[in-house]
Amino acid sequence: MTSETTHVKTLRQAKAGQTVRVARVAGAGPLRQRILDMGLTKGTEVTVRKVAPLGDPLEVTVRGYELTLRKAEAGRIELV
Amino acid sequence: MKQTIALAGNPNSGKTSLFNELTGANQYVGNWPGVTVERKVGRLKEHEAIEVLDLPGIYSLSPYTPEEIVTRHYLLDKQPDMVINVVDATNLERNLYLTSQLMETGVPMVIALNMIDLAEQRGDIIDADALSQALGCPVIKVSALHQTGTDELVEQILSDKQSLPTPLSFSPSVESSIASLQAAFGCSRWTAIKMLENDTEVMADKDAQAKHIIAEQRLKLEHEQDDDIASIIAAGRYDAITELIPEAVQKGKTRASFSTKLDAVLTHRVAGLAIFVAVMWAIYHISISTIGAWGTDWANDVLFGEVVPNWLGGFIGNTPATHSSMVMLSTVLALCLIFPITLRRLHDLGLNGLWVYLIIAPFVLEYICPHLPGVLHSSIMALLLGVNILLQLACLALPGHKSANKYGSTPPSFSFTPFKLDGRINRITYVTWYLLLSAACVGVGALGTLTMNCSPTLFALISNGIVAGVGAVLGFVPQMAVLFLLLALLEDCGYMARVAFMMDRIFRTIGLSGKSFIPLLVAMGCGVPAVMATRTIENEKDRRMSIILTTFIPCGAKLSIIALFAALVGENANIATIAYFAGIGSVILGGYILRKTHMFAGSYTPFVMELPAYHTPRAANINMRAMERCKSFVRKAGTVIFLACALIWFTSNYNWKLEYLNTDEEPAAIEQSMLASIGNSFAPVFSPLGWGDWKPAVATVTGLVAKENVVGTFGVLYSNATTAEETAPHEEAPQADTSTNLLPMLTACTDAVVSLWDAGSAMSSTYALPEGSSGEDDEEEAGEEAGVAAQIKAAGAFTTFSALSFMLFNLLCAPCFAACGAIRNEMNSSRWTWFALGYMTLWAYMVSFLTYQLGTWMSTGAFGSGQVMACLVSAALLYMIVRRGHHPTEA
Repeated sequence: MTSETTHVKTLRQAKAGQTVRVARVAGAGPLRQRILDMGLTKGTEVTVRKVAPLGDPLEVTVRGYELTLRKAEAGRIELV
Repeated sequence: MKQTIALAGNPNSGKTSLFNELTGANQYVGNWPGVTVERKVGRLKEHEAIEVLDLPGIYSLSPYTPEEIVTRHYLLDKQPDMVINVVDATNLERNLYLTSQLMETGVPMVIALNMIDLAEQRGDIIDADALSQALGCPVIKVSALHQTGTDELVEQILSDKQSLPTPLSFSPSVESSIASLQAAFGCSRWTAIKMLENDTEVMADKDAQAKHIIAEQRLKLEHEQDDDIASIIAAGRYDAITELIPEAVQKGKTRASFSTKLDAVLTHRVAGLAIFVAVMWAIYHISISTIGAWGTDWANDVLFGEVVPNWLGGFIGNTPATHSSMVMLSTVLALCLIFPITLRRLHDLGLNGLWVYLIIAPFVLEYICPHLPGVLHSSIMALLLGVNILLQLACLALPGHKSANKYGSTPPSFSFTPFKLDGRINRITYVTWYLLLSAACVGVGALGTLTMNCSPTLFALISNGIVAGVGAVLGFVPQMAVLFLLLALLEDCGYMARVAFMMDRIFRTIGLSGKSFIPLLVAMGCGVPAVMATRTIENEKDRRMSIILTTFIPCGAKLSIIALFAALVGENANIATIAYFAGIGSVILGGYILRKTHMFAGSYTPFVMELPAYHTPRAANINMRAMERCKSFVRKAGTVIFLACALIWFTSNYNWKLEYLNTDEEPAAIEQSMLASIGNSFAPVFSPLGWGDWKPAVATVTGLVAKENVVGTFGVLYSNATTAEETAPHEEAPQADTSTNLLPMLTACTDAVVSLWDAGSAMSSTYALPEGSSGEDDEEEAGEEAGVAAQIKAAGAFTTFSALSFMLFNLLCAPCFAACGAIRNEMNSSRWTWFALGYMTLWAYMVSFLTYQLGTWMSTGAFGSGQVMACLVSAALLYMIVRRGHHPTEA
């Protein structure tokens, strides 16, 4: 983990195999609610499994199950 | 005594399996009013007074997706007597999140801890009593797959004890806010939490003062925790759950499960894509071009082509039916009628669906290893046959599963029908129905000996109108059954979610998700199963859009139109390419434009999707899902197709004086039919497209029955037109153009067709050949198309661009009636069906218009009012594409 960076690190930048912790989910509305409902709440540990063959959706393990989300959505999930 | 109980739970929690276990044969599948969310109702086995409702699978009770809204309204307004919350024991944390919300609705609840066998296999030890204590409601370990725990669940349903769960508590500050709101408004805990969450539905009827009080509490909390309310509440729920779980669950150690390892291969960057291509190829190949197509060809050519007409000739006609066709008909009927009850009987015996695989196995054997040594081949076949007979004997002789006798032995009054595919059936019922149905089949076959000698008109109506209509519907069934079995297999084992995962990137640009890939692939073979395949897409808007776009892809039947025009225009290879690109381009552009309209706006599906763990597919589920889809196709789409075919038959065989024109014997008589005169009256509509004559117009209409008919109709209409009738070239089509473009010699065009078909057979793994054209038929068909092309050419009816425009219109406009029926079935709304058909036809009209007008302009330089319009239309189209779409309110 790099120490103080000016940019907020998001799940989008996390590498495959890395385990990270959620700080907050940016944005509003249905999509954000869905992300929260699926268990990506403050303090949750997320392990990035892999990137899809064509380079976009990510596969992550959260709360013991596999979840897939697009990079655009992953970009809203800020990490500690 | 309870009257209604509802099953609620996450998707993939095994809710439907449990529902099937609880209700057996007594279920009804429909839709929730106003949305295409499936609504399944059944009656509890042996306790018919209790209605069981399968609520849609959801993750949360937020007011966003139609599934969530339906569930919410049902729970709050209809107040079922009890909710069975189905919880996946292998994924407790997230499943309990929904539980925590269900508890707040104040409906009595029982938790069914499903898939407990899988959890225990993983080494998790779950203490149901501790969980029950913490949640304040009974928790029962269940495995719907192994049929354990269901008895206990039924007992719990029948007991009079009302178990109101105790909702999980939030952090003290949130709790105090909830308490003060409850005090201020005198409302339930549910309403208070929703007010705090600023839920649109709950807040709708609040006045300014109330809103102020609520906002005050909300802001206080948000300020205190430096977070917003949605996040505070969601985190609060999950925190309560994570606190509770260690008390009740001892996690096993084995984390890297088989599923994870499998997933590493199946979604691997290189291997994953290769496997994906192989799987898709296999699905397409098995269902569309081999096994399914054999079945469909057989149904069309043999069953409805020879056997049934022959039998009809005996029954109501005057030529005695042959012995073989009567036997064949009885056998087919027996298979169709006895198969469903045998499937249920096998389910009862715990031998789910073995039969299906046994039936498919010989085909697979033939196909995969066609050159097996004779002895080996026949011994395998004999073995399969032997197993089939053994299974049949087992069905007749074995006593069956004990619970079947417990729940299934008393079929309530006469509601037991042999056509329900699920549920159970005990030995006595099975034998009774077996004998009854066999007798009925033999009886129907024997009717062929009657020779009733009805009037020729009635005979023609029945054989050409009705039987042909029924045949058009049933002919699709084999193909669809195979496709649906394979799709259900993919869905059930968890691969479908990975398809969406891998293909998402491609489909995102037009706002669809990866799941739309499969319908589009299948559409290259046939639009009907393709439209039906959209059912695997959960999101309603995505599904509707996929349905609209799917039939743009040229299907097998449209290939004959392509071949005809390739022969006519001469540049064969280009025509086929143009046709496929037009199809794919229409999907992309059409989708892009649709996505920007307010109807589909903002539904960029939140692609935040669970990837369920892989598991061995459950035959019972697969069978039921596949058969249910086939049944719903035959039932709903069937009526549309049947009526439409009968109507077209009627209008093309009668004139306005209601005199019968025998088009079978004198094909040219179609010119006097009602259809021809109707075609005449609306032909001018097509003149901007360059083919305002009545003949192409009629061909377009007959193409609605089946797209192959376009070629056939042209053959009929232009056969005597070559010399007798002068078809005036259209005024907008300059003479010089006509002559230069239509000069290529007959030989050239025959060569063209042959080379197209050569190319076609080389590509046959990618593009389906038209139905009924396997191998040897190719040349024949090519010959027919070349002949028709020559006649059309001689009549001088088309210029290059009007031919192109006609072809594109027929490829892109409303699909055949079978597909229209499927669309009606899947849209589940006539408004949406008409919208879909209208959109397709309008799109086709526009594309053809542009092709013709701009094409003529470019080739001749003539610039008239048509070209001005074309420029305007292209500008409008461009605007539709580049304009900013409606965006949802969210940031």
